[in-house]
Amino acid sequence: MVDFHRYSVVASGVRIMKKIILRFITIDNVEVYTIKRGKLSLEKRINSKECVKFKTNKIMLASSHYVSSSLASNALNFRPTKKQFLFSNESVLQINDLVCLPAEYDETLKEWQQTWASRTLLLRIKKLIPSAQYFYPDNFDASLPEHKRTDLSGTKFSNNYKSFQLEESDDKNTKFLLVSSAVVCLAIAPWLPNNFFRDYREVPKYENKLSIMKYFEELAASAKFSGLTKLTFNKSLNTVGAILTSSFTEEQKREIRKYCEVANCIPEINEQQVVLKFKRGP
Amino acid sequence: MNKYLLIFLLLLFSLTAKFVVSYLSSDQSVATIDSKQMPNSTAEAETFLAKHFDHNVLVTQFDERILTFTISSLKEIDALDKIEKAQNLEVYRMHSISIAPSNQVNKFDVFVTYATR
Repeated sequence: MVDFHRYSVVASGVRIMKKIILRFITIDNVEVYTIKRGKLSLEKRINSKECVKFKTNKIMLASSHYVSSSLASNALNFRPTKKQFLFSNESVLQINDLVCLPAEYDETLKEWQQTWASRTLLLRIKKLIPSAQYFYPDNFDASLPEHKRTDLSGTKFSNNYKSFQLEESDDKNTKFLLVSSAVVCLAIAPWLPNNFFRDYREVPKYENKLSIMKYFEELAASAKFSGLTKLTFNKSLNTVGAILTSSFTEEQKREIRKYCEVANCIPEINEQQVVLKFKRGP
Repeated sequence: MNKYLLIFLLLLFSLTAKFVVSYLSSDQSVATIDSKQMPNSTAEAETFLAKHFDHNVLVTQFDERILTFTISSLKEIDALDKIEKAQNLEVYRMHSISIAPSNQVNKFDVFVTYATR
């Protein structure tokens, strides 16, 4: 029993078995190959339901899943581009269902060869093996006749062989673009200045607590003030002013002076009015 | 890595970075205020202050230097509450607060002056 996990590597958080390739023959017949020193080695045959166990991105297509054809060089008076499909007359596939490898020129046979497959079929295989990315036609070893391709053990294999790759549909790309645009907008939004949408301005915040108030309460209690006409707390001048209905008694004046010695303030006492000037805050 | 995961990580990173930057640069001495909420006339000042003090306010002076207003006929407990609220208004610099008996028995008037600049 081969320990397939021996070949696995962690790539981007997904376990991809880089040394495994699945050859898709039919839905009930899938061959599992390991790649040892560039050569294939058949490990076992499975059915397609078991394919999910193998998170390989390489799939080999049996000949029934792709078509190859050739064209004499003299039949073509131009050099085909990479994406050009030369056999539209022969293919029964609709052009939007077609994936083709670039046409290759065979020097010995003097002909253009091209291989193509059905996109729908490849998508169906991808459904069975979601990690599949590269679909290799199994004709990469031209020396191997088709009837001998029952078991590819010993055949050379390289990742550089040409393979079909499913391009994402326009719908998916559009969806991705929309989602990424929305996310980028959301990511930028918190960084926009507050006044981007509304007319905001920054104003200073002031600490308006009147600490002199509680100290005056102590004085008012000790000096037994009564008949207050007006009481003013001036934060700018750091003063407390009080006007009584009657003149201050000598006892009250003594209490005020005594208080100011402790509270570090200068009292200015008139008949009915007192102003306490605090030096550095009481 | 899944590209969707990548862009959502970008969003998460941006929000986290913004939160961290805001937290680190938070300046308690500056308030961001909708300038439309700041009063520009006596009438607007009365509305603004009435909302803050939860009581009718009579603005006696409002110019580019000073804002003076009176809150009249308050019970003692209400007068203390308004004095407390006057100290909590942070967008103007406190100049003075006076309290005097009202024309009504056992009621008080509170006079407040702020510097407007």
